[in-house]
Amino acid sequence: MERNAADDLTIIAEARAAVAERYITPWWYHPVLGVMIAVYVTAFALGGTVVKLVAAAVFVLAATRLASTYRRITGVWINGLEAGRASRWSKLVGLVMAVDLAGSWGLHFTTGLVWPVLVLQPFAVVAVVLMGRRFDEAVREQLRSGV
Amino acid sequence: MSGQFDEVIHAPNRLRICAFLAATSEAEFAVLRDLLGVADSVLSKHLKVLQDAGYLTVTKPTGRGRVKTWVKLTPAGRTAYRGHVTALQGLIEQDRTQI
Repeated sequence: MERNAADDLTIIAEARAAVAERYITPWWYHPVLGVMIAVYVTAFALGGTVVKLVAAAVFVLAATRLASTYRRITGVWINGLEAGRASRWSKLVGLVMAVDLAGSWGLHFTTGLVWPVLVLQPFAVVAVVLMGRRFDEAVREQLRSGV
Repeated sequence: MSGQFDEVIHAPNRLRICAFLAATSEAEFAVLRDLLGVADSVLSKHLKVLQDAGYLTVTKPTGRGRVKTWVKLTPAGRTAYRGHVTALQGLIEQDRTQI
C-alpha cells in the first residue's frame, strides 16, 4: 500500500510522542542540580581564591557526572539550549544561578555577613527545581503538539 | 519556505529515526531499536545509510561499564529533515487546494 504525506506526518507525530514518553526526568535530578548550584555559590561567595577554583572544578565535574547519569538512565538527551520555546526555562535556571552568585557574593563582600548567603540558597534550590520541571513539561508539550 | 523532498529520509524507518533524533539532541542506539521494533542489524543498516548521507553521527563514548552507542543528527541532517517535513506539509496543502 502506498503511503501518502499524511501517513508520513503521522509517523513523525508518533516518533515525537515516543520522545515525550521517554523524556521523564528522574525525581532527584533537579533537586541534586539545585543543591550543586547552592553549594558552589556558597563556596564562591564565602571562600578564598583556592576555594573558588576548587569549587568551580568540582561543580563542573559533578554537573558532567549528573548529565551522564541522566543520559544513561533515560537513553535520550535534550540540550536545554536546543529545545525551542522550552529553552526559556533552562535559560531562567542560568539566570537564577547568576543572580544567586552575584547576590551572595555581593552581600558577603559588602556586609561581611555569612547568614544572608546561607538564607539565599534554599530559595535558589526551590527555583531550580520548579524551573527544571517547567522545562520538562514545556518540552513534552511541544513534542506532542508540533511536527 | 519550500521544502526539499528527501529520498534518503523518506523510507518509514529512516523517517522515524530522523523524527526521533530531530526531537532530541542525542539518543541511545537501544532506544532507537526499541522505537522501530527491529533487530540491531536492521537499525545499523538504516543508520549507515543516513550516516553515509552525512545526516547523522554515531559515537561510542568511552568510560566504565557497558559502552553505549549514541546517535545524533548533524546540522546537515537537521536541515534535510526540516526540508523534508516542509515538503510533506506542502504536499498536503496542495491536496487541500485541489479538492
